[in-house]
Amino acid sequence: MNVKLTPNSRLVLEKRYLKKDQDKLLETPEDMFYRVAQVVAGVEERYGKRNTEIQSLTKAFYNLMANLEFMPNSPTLMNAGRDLGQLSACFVLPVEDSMEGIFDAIKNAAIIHKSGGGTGFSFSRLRPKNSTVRSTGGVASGPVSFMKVFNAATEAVKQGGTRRGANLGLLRVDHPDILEFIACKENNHEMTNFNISVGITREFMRALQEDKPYHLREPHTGSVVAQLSASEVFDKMMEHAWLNGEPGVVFLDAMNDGNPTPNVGEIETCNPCGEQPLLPNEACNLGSINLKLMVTKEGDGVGIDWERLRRVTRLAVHFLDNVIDANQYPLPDIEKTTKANRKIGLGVMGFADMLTILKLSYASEEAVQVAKKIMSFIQEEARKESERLAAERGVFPNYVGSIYEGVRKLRNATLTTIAPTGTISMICGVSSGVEPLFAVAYTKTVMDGTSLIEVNPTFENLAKDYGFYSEELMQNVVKQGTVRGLNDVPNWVQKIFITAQEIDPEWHVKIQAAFQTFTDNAVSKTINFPHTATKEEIAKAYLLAYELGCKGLTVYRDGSREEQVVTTGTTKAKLTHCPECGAELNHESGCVNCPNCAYSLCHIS
Amino acid sequence: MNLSKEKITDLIQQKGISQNELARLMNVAQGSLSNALSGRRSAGRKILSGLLSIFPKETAASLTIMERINKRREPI
Repeated sequence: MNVKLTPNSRLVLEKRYLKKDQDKLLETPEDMFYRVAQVVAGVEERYGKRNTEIQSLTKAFYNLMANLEFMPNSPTLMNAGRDLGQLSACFVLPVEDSMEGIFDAIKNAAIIHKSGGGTGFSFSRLRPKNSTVRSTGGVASGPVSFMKVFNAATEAVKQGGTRRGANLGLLRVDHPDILEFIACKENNHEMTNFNISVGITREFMRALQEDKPYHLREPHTGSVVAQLSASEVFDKMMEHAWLNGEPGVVFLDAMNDGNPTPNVGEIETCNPCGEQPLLPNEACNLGSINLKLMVTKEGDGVGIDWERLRRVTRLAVHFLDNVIDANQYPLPDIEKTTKANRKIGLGVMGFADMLTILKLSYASEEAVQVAKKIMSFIQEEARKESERLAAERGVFPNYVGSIYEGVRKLRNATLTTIAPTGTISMICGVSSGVEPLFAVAYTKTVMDGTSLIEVNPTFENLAKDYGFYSEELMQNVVKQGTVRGLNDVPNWVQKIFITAQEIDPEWHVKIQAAFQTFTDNAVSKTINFPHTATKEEIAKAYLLAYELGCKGLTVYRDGSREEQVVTTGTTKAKLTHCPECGAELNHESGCVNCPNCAYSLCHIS
Repeated sequence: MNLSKEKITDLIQQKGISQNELARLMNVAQGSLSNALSGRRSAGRKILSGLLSIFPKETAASLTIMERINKRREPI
């Protein structure tokens, strides 16, 4: 039986995921899911499972994906059972303060990019600009200057593969070169392969609240070398974030509060989209549950299908733990760190779609409560499954000395992460991650010029059920893209189908925070602002995110990157439209995504 | 998703069946298939996966016509 994929997701799979020889497809989507299921279930052999057990697990994993209940991150779908065999999406590489260290990191990043992973770097260990280099007697060029070398290397590698490498460059706010770093993407033509984030410390936030100066520290010794006014530095950051969304922020202390193995090392940075804090040389594989399917009839209405959610969560954790063993790691150091902590990141997608089915507005206290309820449930069920696996296969090797020692015997140091789900949410035909809807209707133009209307199916059904459906209304929704202010649409329906642009930034942050409360790792989300938003409004969102315990924040002010151009091969396109198919792009979860062909750009120029 | 009528008509002829027989093999209503083929309706997941199961050598790309999405949004 064929998997019930939408026509668009079939096209996306054919274009980007399925095995091909030249232009000829060598597998169907069904073959792909089977290939992945077989490889991931196959590792059970090393845990002494019999053939029949492996077969039934293969079937269970296949159904999990073929029913679109759960999807692993893209590298797993693309590479399982193929030559590359690299299954993780996220990596963090250390950048040591030496010529050898810097260029090792560049080489390792190139190897990871080739295999479809994204890399996060902290440049905070590098000595500041103009400090002495002992061996040569010269002066150091500083982190920003070296970032340009990383950027150029990524540029060269991306021309070889089909997926571009994505990088996150982070600098601690107390690094002496912080002001140069904040401004390093002012010019749109530089650092095009990097997202940049400032690593914020508690000391800095305290100084900001008290309107005092804070200390800049020499990276090696930690000794104070200068001080800056916290509010002036914060102002500079807000100015640039307003201008083009960069830099984002990462709250380093919040990330380290959640570090399960502080005895092994400190978390210095995270992956490119900000959802996965990792130790240096660590990788993580992610997967997401499709919430749109986790609903069921309840009396006259609709409720959350907790039993199904439990079953899918348990099986997904089992799947992701197996991926750690099935994975072929690009570097021995990464294999060692990853297998010692066995971190996985189970998250969700289709949250906005689920809310529309439950008839709740994204911008409401009820939605915040649903977010908390769902994520706390997933977190707890995931931990129970991890305990079950630990009883069978042993705890993660770094368990002794971790925050879980003597508390809970887990197989995995972390279990949950809310990832941006660009392509996999397209495969499932649902809204991405925990982002709101971007539009209630689209038009599609076929090559011969005719236009087709595509209306959100939940909205269309609701309109029919409540008797306000008409062809004319659908045309109006298409014209506007949203339902706000349409007389024929009842107020309560307008609230349910609220879109990203119409949602007050405060609610964006509150939803992110609600998921963060019950997520081991972090939450990838973009806070969308209208074009008219001020620097002060953006600052307010950052402060709220800190207060509510978020681990980082990415903002996008509508239209603020319109003058920027992306290039793919020989095609150039403005960043508003997809360079491959011309559709309008969405800014979500720290990336730019095409809702039509799954083109995605996670480094924004 | 718009189907390529030419391509599918070709395939039907090659297989030596009628459009109605095809609908029956695909387990969809004749009207649904006819609407999708004429372009009156966009082809959904049932139609496309049905066609692919009857014509396993084809792909989603080979059965459909390229299209692009326009997200229409006026200033709010």
